[in-house]
Amino acid sequence: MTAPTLRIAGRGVAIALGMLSPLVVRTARAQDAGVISTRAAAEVVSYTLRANGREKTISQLVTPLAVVIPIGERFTFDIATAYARSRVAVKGDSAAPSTVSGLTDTQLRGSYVFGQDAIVLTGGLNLPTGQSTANAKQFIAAQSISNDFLLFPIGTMGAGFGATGGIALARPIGAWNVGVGGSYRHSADFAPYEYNDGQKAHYQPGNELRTRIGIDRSFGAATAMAGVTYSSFGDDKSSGATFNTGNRLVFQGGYSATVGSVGYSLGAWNLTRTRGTRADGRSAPSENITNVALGASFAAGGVSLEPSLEARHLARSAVPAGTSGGAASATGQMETIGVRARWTVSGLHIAPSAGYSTGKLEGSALTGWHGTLAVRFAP
Amino acid sequence: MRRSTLFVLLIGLAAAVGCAPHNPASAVTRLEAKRDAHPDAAKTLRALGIAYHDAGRFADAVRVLGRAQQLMPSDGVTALYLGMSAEATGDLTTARASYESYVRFGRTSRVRAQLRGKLAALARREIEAEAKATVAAESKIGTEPGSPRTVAVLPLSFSGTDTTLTSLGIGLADLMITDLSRSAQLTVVERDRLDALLDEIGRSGDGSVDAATSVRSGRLARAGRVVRGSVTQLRGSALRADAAVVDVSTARAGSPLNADFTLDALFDAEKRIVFALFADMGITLTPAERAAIDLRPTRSIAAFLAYSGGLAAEDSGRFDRAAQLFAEAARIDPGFAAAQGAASRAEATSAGQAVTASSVQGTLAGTAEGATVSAAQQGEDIDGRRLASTLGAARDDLNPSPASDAASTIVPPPVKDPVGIATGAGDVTSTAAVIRIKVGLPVLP
Repeated sequence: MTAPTLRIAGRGVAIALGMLSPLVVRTARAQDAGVISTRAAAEVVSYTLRANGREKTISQLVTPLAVVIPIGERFTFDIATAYARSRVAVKGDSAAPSTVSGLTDTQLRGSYVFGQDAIVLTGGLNLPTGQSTANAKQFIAAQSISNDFLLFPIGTMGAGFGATGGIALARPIGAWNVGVGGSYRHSADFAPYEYNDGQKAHYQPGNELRTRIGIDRSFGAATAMAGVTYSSFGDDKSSGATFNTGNRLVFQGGYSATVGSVGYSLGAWNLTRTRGTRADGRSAPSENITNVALGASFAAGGVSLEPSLEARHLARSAVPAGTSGGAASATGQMETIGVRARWTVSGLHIAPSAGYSTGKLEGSALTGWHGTLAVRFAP
Repeated sequence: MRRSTLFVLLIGLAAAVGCAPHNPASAVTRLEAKRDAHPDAAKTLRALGIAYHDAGRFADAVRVLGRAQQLMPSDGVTALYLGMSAEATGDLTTARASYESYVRFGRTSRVRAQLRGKLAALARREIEAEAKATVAAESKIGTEPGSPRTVAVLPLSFSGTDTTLTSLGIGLADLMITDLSRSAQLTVVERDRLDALLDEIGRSGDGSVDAATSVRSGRLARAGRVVRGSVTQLRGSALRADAAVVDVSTARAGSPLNADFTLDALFDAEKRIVFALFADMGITLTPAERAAIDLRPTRSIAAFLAYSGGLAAEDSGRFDRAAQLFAEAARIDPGFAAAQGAASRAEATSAGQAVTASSVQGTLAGTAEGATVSAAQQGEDIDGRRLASTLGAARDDLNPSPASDAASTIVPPPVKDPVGIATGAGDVTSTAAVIRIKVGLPVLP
């Protein structure tokens, strides 16, 4: 299994730290040449699942910190880490809640741009500063935050040392810009679980090859983008067993436009994970998740107010019966309403946001909420 | 497909990027058609201006880039090409304003550095152009002199055998300009401006200024009075300085003022002459003005001689040599503020003289702004930063970092977690996670 730490770069941290535009604004270079920017946030997320009189609440508090350092016109270096506290509590359960907390892994990344924004070489290291090993009491919390459907800001506390190298190319073709690229990731062995007798289960994630093609273009005051990413994974190994989680195919698309003083954005992605092989030899289920979001941006008096609506759907195939029993196919759906405000004071960009979610997951009723205060300082 | 084969293909694609041919005429034709369809599309106007510049149609470039700048006042590329095109047409005022706009808004730091030097060189050229225009319009100025409170100080001529003192007259005139400027009752013509006028109307072979030229230069500078004089080497280190105030309206010189001194008493002698000039012009100094005039720019005669040499080199347009001499003066006396400032100015001017449109374009190549220019040269009005955004999106997807500028309010898709689906982890609806992971991860022996 591979790319564990990429999860930290996923959902919530990117939301909390990225504060620039309603849709997607990313550059291979620093936004302001020579300007170091520092980003920090405090984010709280909580989901409650109710079924058959049981109520399970999974919550997470995250305080990410990231620094982006442009060096010259072409090289950009960034470093990011976070503190996270995750907790799973079952109402009426006599057992104490499962909790895991501490510093997460630290990501270092450097990127060098060649030519006229034609090529970028990128390299990254995942430094194992986080708690990669969970004991029995911590494991429920550690596993719950890695759920692909709920997408907690921090998906894993730590996953050992890893290194990524990649290249991406871009060029205009007609009115469109086209970007293609590939990356390769190697992760070192780590121990995700510690048994009650103190022994640890070691885990060697397989390597990952990721390829991507994306297009984007402007239509006056509107921008459209689309991309597809395919990740193929090598076999994971643990204590002599070999297994595989299946490869991943992600389609992404987005459109943003400004009409008068109001900005609109529509974004969607679809993830398909193919069937894999579990450690016990059974087939790991395939999975398909679709996410669609609609946002708007109203500016008034130096403050931008951005309401959003988001819908997510999950379809997971059945797990064949085995020594520990099978599992039926599963579905899930969730709708989220949220709002974010943004303003700037003396180089300090401030963005509080909040949201409320409701839906169903594998037969359980689901409700959730999140709140974030994100700041970015770029003097 | 083997992974190594895939990477070879990617590298091959990389090599193929950016190989499109550059044809200014076809780019102009294509962009003019776009402009005709959308006359106020700012990026199209910018691209067309760049294409006009590359095609040598500088006046057309100034016209469309001027309109583009009205629509995008903070766009660095527009300002840069407007500046280069305006400079090519001789419109130095527009060029200066545009380069200043780029220094403020431009995104390529090395081009900003080039333009700071360029602005220093341009200031010199502007003064020269102004002098040329003033002389050309001399007949319209008439015979009416400027205000008697406006004074021009001409460089003092030098006669003597010690070649190390040749520039002393220029240095002394500079000191006198500084000291006379201390009085709020006088307006003193800038040294650079007067020097440009003298260059334009001509001086004698040894650089000295005769009486008729003195009066003429004063009239052109709109000065009511001119201070002229000389430094004479007597015997050894003995020197004499002579100065007189010439009334421009009558061409009559006032009482001659002089001071005999040795080189080490140079500054005392200069102060005596300056105070005598104030008295001759009927100027009463305040105590504060007198105290300011009493200050010495440096205690080092060697530093002052080097500084004077720098001024002479600057006057003759040798800015690299001037920068060396000013730096030498500042090295001898680190407290010599005028030398420090002059060294920076001369260095910038020297560097700025070497900055050309092609050198700026060369610096721009390979940057985000360069991509905008490159696209325009291909007849496209694409913003280079959009291409940077394309590349950045690919990078962030291939090598994600929490520090990315992913600014979406939309939740991105998940990535693989360490103890994911293969072990049954991530199942939030189960309460039997520990049992399942024991099945997933075989028990160690």
